[in-house]
Amino acid sequence: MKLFIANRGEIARRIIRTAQKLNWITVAGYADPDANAPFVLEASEAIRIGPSALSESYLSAEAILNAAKATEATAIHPGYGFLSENADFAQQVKDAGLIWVGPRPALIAMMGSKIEARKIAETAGVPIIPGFSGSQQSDDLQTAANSIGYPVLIKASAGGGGKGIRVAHSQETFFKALDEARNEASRSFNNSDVIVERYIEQPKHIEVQIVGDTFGNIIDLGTRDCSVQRRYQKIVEEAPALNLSSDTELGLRETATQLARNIGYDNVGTVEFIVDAATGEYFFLEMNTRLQVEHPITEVVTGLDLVELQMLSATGKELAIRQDEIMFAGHAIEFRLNAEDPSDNFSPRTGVIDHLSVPKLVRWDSGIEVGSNISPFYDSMIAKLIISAPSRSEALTAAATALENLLVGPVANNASLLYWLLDQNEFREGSITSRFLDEIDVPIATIDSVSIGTAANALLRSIESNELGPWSSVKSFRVTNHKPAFDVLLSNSEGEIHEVKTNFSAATDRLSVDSTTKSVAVNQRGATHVFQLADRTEAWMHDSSIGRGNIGDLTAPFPAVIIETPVQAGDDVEPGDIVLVIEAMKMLHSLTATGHGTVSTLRVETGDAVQSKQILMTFSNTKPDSERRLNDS
Amino acid sequence: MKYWTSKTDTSSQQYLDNEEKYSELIEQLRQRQEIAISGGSGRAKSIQRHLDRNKVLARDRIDMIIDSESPFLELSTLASWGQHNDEAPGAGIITGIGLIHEVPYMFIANDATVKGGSLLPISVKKHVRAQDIALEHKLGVIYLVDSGGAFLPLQDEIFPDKDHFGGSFYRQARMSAQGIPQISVVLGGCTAGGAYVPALSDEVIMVDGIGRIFLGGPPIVKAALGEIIDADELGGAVLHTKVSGVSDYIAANEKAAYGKLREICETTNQRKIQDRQPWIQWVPPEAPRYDPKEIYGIISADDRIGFDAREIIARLVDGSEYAEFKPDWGDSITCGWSKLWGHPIGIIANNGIIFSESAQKATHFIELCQQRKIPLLFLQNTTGYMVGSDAEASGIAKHGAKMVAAVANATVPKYTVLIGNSYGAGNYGMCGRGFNPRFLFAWPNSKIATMSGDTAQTVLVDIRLAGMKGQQTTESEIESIRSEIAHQYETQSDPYYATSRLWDDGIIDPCDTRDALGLCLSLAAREDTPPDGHGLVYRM
Repeated sequence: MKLFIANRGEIARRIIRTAQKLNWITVAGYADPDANAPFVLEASEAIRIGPSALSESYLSAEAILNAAKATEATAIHPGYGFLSENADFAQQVKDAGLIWVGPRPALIAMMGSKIEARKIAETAGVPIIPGFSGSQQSDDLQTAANSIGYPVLIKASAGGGGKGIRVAHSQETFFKALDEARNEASRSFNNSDVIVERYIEQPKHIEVQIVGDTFGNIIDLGTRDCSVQRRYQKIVEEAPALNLSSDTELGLRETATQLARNIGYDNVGTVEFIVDAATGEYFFLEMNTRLQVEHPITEVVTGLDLVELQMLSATGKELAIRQDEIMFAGHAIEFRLNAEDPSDNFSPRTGVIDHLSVPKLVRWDSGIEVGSNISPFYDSMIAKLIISAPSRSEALTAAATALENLLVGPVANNASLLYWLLDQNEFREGSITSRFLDEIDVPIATIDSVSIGTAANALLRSIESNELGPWSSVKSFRVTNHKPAFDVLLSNSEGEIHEVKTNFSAATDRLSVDSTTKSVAVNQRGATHVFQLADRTEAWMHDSSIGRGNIGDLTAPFPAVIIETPVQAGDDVEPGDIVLVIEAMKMLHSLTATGHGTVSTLRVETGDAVQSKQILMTFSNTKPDSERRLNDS
Repeated sequence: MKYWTSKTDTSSQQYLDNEEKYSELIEQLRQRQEIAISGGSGRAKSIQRHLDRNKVLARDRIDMIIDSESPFLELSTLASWGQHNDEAPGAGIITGIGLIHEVPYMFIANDATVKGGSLLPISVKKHVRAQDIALEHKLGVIYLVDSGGAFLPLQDEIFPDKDHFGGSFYRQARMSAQGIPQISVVLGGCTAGGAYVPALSDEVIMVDGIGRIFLGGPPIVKAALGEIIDADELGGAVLHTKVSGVSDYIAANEKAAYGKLREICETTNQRKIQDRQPWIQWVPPEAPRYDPKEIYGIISADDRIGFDAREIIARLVDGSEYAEFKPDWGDSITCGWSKLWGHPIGIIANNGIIFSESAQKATHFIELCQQRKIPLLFLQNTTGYMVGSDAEASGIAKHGAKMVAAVANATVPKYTVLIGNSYGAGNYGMCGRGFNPRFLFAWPNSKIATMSGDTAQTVLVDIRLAGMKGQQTTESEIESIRSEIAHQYETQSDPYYATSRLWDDGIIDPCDTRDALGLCLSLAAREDTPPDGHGLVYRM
């Protein structure tokens, strides 16, 4: 068999792993930004499918089919996302005489429409969340919302990935929310149909893994809890689901298998439910007719290879395992590592991964290696950290250890958030709801000076050169007892300067030095902080040519946004007067005058985004401050 | 090159005894350095006062300026030791060599915690010595000025003579004219003559709030003109940078000043430490095969018992490799070639009294090193040139003179370390202070005098008695003369007596010697080729 992988990143590598086990040849189809990606190098063959634009590469059925034909592939695995739930594409694959590694296209089409899926679920006796999926007339939708009762959820019928979802809290705001949902749905899925349903205030997201074959066998591989979400996207998943009564768990699994059986499901799929944490009620949400991102946790607790099961079913093999033979063991947690800044509203971050050190004793499904470039073209998820242990409490401990030993940077990522979550009672108790992270202020990852010192030490130790002879080799040589403590300046990836003294006692774990970029990565509370040596000549000079009564130009200490401009050109200022208020990292900072003078120009206005060291304000008429005595700092 | 196979038995009782004795000497050296750095009467209080004014201690200032984790070769740390009632540790001034952007500079930093940074005669000597080293090595000089000026009670020993205070300004101006950068950072008072240190500098930075320059301070201005003025208004950083132009840059604090200083040093267009000139064939260095620490056990605790200098050499040079010259002739001096921290070096070391043959061999070797442009290292451990009828008849006077003349005229860089005794004309022939070695370091076991205490007692007692001819002398009178002489020689041949008076550039631990010499040789390696000598190599 020769398997064409119509996907990228970690899932492409995951598929290659199983394909190699089954002795299938693999073909990676890649878009230009991925030309040197790990999955491209690991596949048996690789072929370019198009440029960075998704519509001309990973989302182009034509490009992919052409590439599959060109490489004489015999099967196509779509992974997740992209074309994995595109029934037309699945059909085209089959029409081209290739094996589609997934359910038959009719099933995809059936479940792909949320409206259709609800109807089918209802018919199968699956509890449905009170909602409306009839007319697309705005008035009809509003009438339905009124009868369901506010707040209601409006979501794209063809949706997924958190796109095209809005909450309407009242009749008055309904149309606005509806418009927004439709616009986004239209942009994302080219289909503006929406459904309206009851908005559950304490929702838990629970799903059941289903496996079917073309012989009519259906088994379930238990539950997963995917309630930890941000902006409607899962970031932590656990198997089995937490705090479910055995009745509820059994009900979920039986309901899911019943639905799968009713429609003659013939591959790996997932039935998603919303469970009301208050009542234990569960409602059908949707069925995903593909492999899930979080499939590894089910693999870990069952010992089964879900990609293998997909490939066997797709090639017409009968399921070799019966429901009563499935052994569930232990607890598994998956953490999705995203290149995004949790303290900046989870906005995505791009750049090159210079540092990557993966903790031991974990499963690491990733699309990145050292040197990988996180481009703006694709999803921000760069890796999955999967922890397993006999019990959940042991898994939590192991997870903390793993996150403390993970180094990935300097691209900002959510590892610090994942680590912080481990300490939250709601998470530990398993009572977290899918809205938890949207309602709480996420802490900013900070680092203490001892750790910066340790990092500085490691960095200095890495710069070994005999080039200068003894003057570089005999470190800190003194003929006396005087123990020099040098000022070492480090700049982080935001350009902020940290200053430490040498002579720090150094624990050297949890950090790595990259000699190419001359940078060091150090983990603190899960966050990877990356530093480079900064030159003190420049950093310190900042205050030269500034004397008493002599206000230098006011510059931005770091990238920030101007919040307030309390003084204007022509105003006189005294030392200590607040002359500007800026915001960075969600914190307000006041900039003060360093002496007497008159504001000659104010170069910014409220709302401006400024760069580090940008001149914000200049002064004239500076006067000596006769009060000032011997006190510089 | 073949390495020297050490014959030292590190488990012998003698070795262990020596090691124990030497460790005590090192302990004493460290304690005394500690006092120079932060001890002395009332010092703790002055240090606290200095820190309370937000001023940085002089050694810490240097650490803030030089390249991170780079060496600082401090000179004459124990200057003034035992003098001035021990009230002037280090002579109130810190001198030494450090890197800024990989370029070596001489630092001359006043220590305001010692007598307010005021200059004693020995401070001036240390200041001038640092300038002479800078001139000879073409090292830019960084003056960290924080001084109350000359110590007036001793003005006669500071002010008028050739190498007194005036000489320091002469050197500063001459160095500047030769393109050797002279840069000052004003971190405290610069009064009267002191004002010329910054004023004669190529570039000057003043730190706001602490730096002050004036020819006459407020009390003098009041006395002379009746003008009452605040010190800062009279000569502060704002005045001098914005009004008078005596200073070029004003810095808000010391950090800013050192950032600026480092920027200035990016513009001085000086050779970097790694800019070795082609006359030095540098190779990547290797550590010695034997641990330098074993020197402690090799040097005899009893200075009348000699030790083989080659055992010392094997613990200083790269790979312990030593190509010995003329090993079978004149064996009371050993000569040979090695590498030290990658630099080629010719070594001359004593193995006892210098005989005619040894003197001729050493002369021959000096001429060879001069011809080959190889720096010379003298390791002194001699009681001098041989005396007696055989020696005189062999012409020891003319052979010794050849050696002295060859040393004096060698133009290659010369370095001297007193590893044992340095007596009499042996000191001259072996490149003592009078022969201008680039650097002269002493080990804490060394002794320096015209002759050993024992010899002196015999000789001087006889002379005294001869001078009292005819008079009756009792045994106790003779004993009193003997003990007076013994005491004088014991005191004056002590290495701390020598280092206090700047007869050397500092007492150093034998274990630091290889590194210190490596730093020194690197400085010479960036210089132009030394001038040619007379060019002939005479077979003696």
